[in-house]
Amino acid sequence: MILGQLAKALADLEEDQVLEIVRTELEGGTEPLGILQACQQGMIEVGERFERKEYFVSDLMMSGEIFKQVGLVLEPHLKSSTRISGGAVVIGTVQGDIHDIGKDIVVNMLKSADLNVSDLGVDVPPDQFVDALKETNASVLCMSGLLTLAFDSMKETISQIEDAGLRDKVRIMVGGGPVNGLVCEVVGADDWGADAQAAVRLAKTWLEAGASA
Amino acid sequence: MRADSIKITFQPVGTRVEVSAGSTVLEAGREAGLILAANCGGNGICGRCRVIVLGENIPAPTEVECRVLSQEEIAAGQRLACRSCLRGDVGVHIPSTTLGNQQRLQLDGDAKNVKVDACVRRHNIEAFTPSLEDSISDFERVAQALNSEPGGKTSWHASAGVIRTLSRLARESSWRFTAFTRSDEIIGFTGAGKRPFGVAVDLGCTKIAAYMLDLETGDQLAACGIPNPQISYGEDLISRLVLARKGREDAQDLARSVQRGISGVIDSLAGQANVDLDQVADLCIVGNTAMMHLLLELPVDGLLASPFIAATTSAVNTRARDIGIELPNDVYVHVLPCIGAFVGADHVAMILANGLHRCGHVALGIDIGTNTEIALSRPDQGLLLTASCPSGPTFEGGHIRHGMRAAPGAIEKIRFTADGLCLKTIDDLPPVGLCGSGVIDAIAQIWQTGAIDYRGHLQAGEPHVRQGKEGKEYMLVEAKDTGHGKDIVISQQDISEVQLAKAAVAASIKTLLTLSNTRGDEIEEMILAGAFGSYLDVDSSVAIGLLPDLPNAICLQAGNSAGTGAKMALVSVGARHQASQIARRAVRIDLKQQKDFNRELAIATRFPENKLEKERSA
Repeated sequence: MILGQLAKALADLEEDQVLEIVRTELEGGTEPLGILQACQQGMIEVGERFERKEYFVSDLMMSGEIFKQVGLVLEPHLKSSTRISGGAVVIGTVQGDIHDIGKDIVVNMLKSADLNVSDLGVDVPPDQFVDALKETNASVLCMSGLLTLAFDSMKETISQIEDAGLRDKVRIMVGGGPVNGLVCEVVGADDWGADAQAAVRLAKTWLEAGASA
Repeated sequence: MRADSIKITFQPVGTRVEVSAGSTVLEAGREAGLILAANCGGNGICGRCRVIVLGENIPAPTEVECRVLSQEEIAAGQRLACRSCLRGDVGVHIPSTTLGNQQRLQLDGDAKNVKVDACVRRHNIEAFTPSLEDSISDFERVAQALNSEPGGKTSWHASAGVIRTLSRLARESSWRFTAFTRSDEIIGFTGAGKRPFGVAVDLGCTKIAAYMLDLETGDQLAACGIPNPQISYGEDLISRLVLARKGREDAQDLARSVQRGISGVIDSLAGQANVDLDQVADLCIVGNTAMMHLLLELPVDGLLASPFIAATTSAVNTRARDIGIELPNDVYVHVLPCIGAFVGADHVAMILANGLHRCGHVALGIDIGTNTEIALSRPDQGLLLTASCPSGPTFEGGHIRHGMRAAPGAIEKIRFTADGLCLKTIDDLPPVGLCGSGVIDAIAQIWQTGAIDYRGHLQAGEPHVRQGKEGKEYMLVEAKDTGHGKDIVISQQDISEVQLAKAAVAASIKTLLTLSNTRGDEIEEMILAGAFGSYLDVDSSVAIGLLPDLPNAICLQAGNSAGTGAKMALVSVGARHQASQIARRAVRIDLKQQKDFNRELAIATRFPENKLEKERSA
């Protein structure tokens, strides 16, 4: 019941209320994983409201911030083995670009979808993407960029992934303000996301397809 | 959306309109409430209604257009508004000659008191005509005359071009004329008794504002503003930079277009002020770092990607003719220094004009535009902090469904009163859209009626809130009261755009304050510079959280401070030194490097009176 309230508070973007419930529940002995799942439920609702055009980018930003705060409170209480059940995703803003607002929204939404997200940050050189793919064995890569020059970096990164012999092990999506189907094709990505929710949906679809294959 | 409807965006006005495919540009313009020159009534005869069609869907020229326009013009996208039938989404650039009424360009900007001390000086030359006994060369004769002045012991030099004009002028005037000098160089001549004048230019991304000043008195004789001709190469700076990076020729085209623009402005200023072009003796230009690179044809690669390195941030002195500005004399251009890749000479000029670098109290200077620059002066700590943040075109009416630039018919002020809606439009014409200040006013008023909540969501069931085609919208002006017979609304999407834009500004200010340990009540002065800053309503801006609520600050809407700073630097060498000191002293804060910036940004999208923010600041 109270966890339902928590999910609702998060979906309504009431940060103070969310954090209060999280702390009270932790003190009351509620299983941290259950608390996390309630918050994830709230994040799913946020995504759905965004798709129904009831929520906007500013709301996604806020929900991501709230979810991050929840993460900070819960982190010490969660056993690492119980945390992640989903697949691994590598994400970053490509070399030469430092835009991170959209990327951060996607990161938070991926995390709330229970995925193992390696966020490489901004201005990420191609070899760093390659190394991260090797380390995490991730099957999904998300590259973000808003600057026109970022497209060159995306292309270069994909070419280095090919050189490293990893291209057939990973599905790649690109995203960011000016990214469209044409950009996706030119840089050699598998698909692109028009907004954060689309990116998350895509990642989940790919991971599920990979798991069943 | 109808299947056969297409979207047309008019530049530089910024109005968007949706029309059915096959409409002419003229029809689309009328639909948008724009008055295009069509002297022959749209019959393809007069050729006055030239426009430039931009984008991928440029229509093939019609027979009439092939007759009226040259091949080069057609290749450059020029079409006749009355003939060109549009089949797909396009941008249409309307040259100022075609736009029947002018977009309001801000020119004013108080000329501040500055000790006039121009770097160009005037000398009256009166010399004996050469004779067998006195047969030194014409140039030496001028040098001798100059050195006969009190304290004159200079080794003078001049360019070949200047010397070339000397002999004839000297003989025609019987050795009675005026020489202009700049340190130890003779830069040109004019008739006896004629004074030197200078031109200060604020080179903006969308407009060029220029002023002609008397270099001896500092008086302003004329002012003039035109749209930046580079707009036809791309509305936003990034696309122009990308083009300039493509190759030398493209970079040259971009530079030439703005250089020709400046030349044209100098001509028209001289005309207005009744000044001969050989009296133009000095130029001073400010603008953002990217515009300065495009003007000077500096390499732009570094500006396009992190870590964002400019080719130079120092002041540049170069001959006008080196940057394609042809004048009779060998005039120099002084380009003010920049602070960084995103904090340009225009911001240095703003700081200079408002004395932020030498005021005795804590002061905040804000120039809101597509990019917003902020300066915080803390003289008690010897700090001058600057930062910039991308705030997008929203404040210029862009990305807003019924938004437009500050052109006639734009709503610039709105109040909800007991008697209903009270609004002021530019030139008092029936409203056709909202300019930036009108958008801010509208949202502040809607927020205060409770029709949106603190998250910015329109509340169903509130008066004037209705379901539109693309989500909720607030009905502002009914069709019967507008200039184009269609409702003017504020859509939920518009509110969301404003939230993101205002959050960028608000979070940047907050971060600068936090970094310097400055409380809002310590700030004694808030300067709002630039066109938008001059017209926006401060109360509305505080109400929506665009600007901070500063209980002890005097708020000054300073007009085009960048232009004022350019004027000061034009007539005063001292001001140029100060500008260089500002550029050296100013500390540039990279907001993206601040750990909590994105969180501040998310919080700042909300409207101010919310519980969250109150408790946080308590």
